[in-house]
This record gives sequence, structure tokens and C-alpha cells, in this order.
Amino acid sequence: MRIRRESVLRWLIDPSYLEEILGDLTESRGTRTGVSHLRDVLSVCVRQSRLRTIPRSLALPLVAAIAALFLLANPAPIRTVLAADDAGPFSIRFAGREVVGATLAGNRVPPDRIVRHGETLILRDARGGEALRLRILGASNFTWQGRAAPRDSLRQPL
Amino acid sequence: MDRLGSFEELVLIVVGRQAGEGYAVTIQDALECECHEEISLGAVYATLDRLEQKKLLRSSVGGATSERGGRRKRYFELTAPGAAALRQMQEIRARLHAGSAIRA
Repeated sequence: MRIRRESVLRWLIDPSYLEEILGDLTESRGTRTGVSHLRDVLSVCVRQSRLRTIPRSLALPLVAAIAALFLLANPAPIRTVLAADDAGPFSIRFAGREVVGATLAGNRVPPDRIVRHGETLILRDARGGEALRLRILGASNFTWQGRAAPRDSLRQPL
Repeated sequence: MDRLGSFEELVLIVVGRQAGEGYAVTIQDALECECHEEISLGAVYATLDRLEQKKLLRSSVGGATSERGGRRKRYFELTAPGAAALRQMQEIRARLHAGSAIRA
């Protein structure tokens, strides 16, 4: 399926951007709902200059076919691991060994506050402080030092 | 200097926050997270292209990784004119809010 999908996109997308766009769409397929992903694919396709060189009667079925190929492709398996310590609950979202998302106390952590250095994963709070540090052991697997319960006056906003 | 559009300004802020580590997917994710609305990848690409043409940011392609089937990512970072444009917008907003009943 990936080969067929890439063949169509290779024709449509400027070759100098093809690799990053395919990578971005593949990555986002693993974390977004089908409708959101479809919107991403269509929004990328309609801005390709090559689409404007063919008749609209061909362009619309072509875009629809590309969208269908993306929706039918198998996304990377996503697993969410829920955990808690004295400081509260948190979750880590994995695509294989890769961390693709996290929550702290039920709040989604923005991606720029999820920092990975090799096996170490750090979730930062809004002030740049370290809210949680984990050691990634493998796909969907980690260990961490349990945090102490926070005093209300010391709580950091997310 | 052309005035930044509001979405362009948001994209520039996120690119600056991600400090050279941001690429289209992480920029889209951060915008959705902070704006609480869905933003299409195509809109992010279009804005990044436009900002790069205006020389407010620059991009570079990273090395191949095992993620994403080995496909490389295009990373974006603020240029000096990009940072200046953001500062200018911030100052304009601060001046306008200073005379407004709604405080920033």
C-alpha cells in the first residue's frame, strides 16, 4: 500500500519536498483521527502546483484516490501508558519506541515541552522546569523515580 | 517590512519556541494544543513557505532517522529579521492594549 500511495504522491508533489511531506503525513497518521488525517492529506494535495495543470474532472478523483490510500494505510501502532505517583497521574503515548505525546495530571503536554535525550525523557512545565523525568526502556516501556506530592503553593502551571 | 498576518505570527512564535527543533508536524501540534482548534498540515506548510520567502525563518533538512521510515524532516528556525518582526508585533500589541479596557 505504501508503494502505491507514494507512487501517486511522487507524481503530484514537488520532488524536493516529497520526502519531508511523506514523512510528516506518515507521522501524523499515527496520532490523528481519520478525519483529521484526511484533512491534512487534502490540504497538502490541493496546494501542489501540478494539480493545477490537469483538468478539474481528473484532479478531483485523483485527490480522492490519494486520500483513500492514506486512510487505508496501516498507521504505526500507538499505545498510551497510564501511570501515577504521589504527584499525580500522567500518561505517555508511544509509537513503537518513539514518544509522540504525553499528559500530566490530565493536561496535554505541548510537544515543545517533551524533551528526549537518548533514553531520557523530560516533560517540562510552562516555566521550563522539569516536571517529570523518565527513562525509556523500550517500546511502551519506561521507569521513573516516584515524585513527591506537591504542596499547593509550589504547584507549577502546565 | 510587511506586517505579519495573525496566523503567520502564531507560526513564528511556535518556531521560535521550538528553537530549531520544530518541523511541520510539531508546529501543527503545538498550534492545535495552544489554539484549541484543528489546523491542517497544508495551512502550516503554506505559512512556513511564505515566511521563508519573506526571510523571517530558514529551514534545513535533518539527517535520516529510523523514525518515519527513514524519511528526513525539514527543521525551521527564526532568522534575525523574524525575531525582529515578532518583537515589533509584541510592542504594537502592548501599546494598543495599554490604552484598552482589556488588559493583555
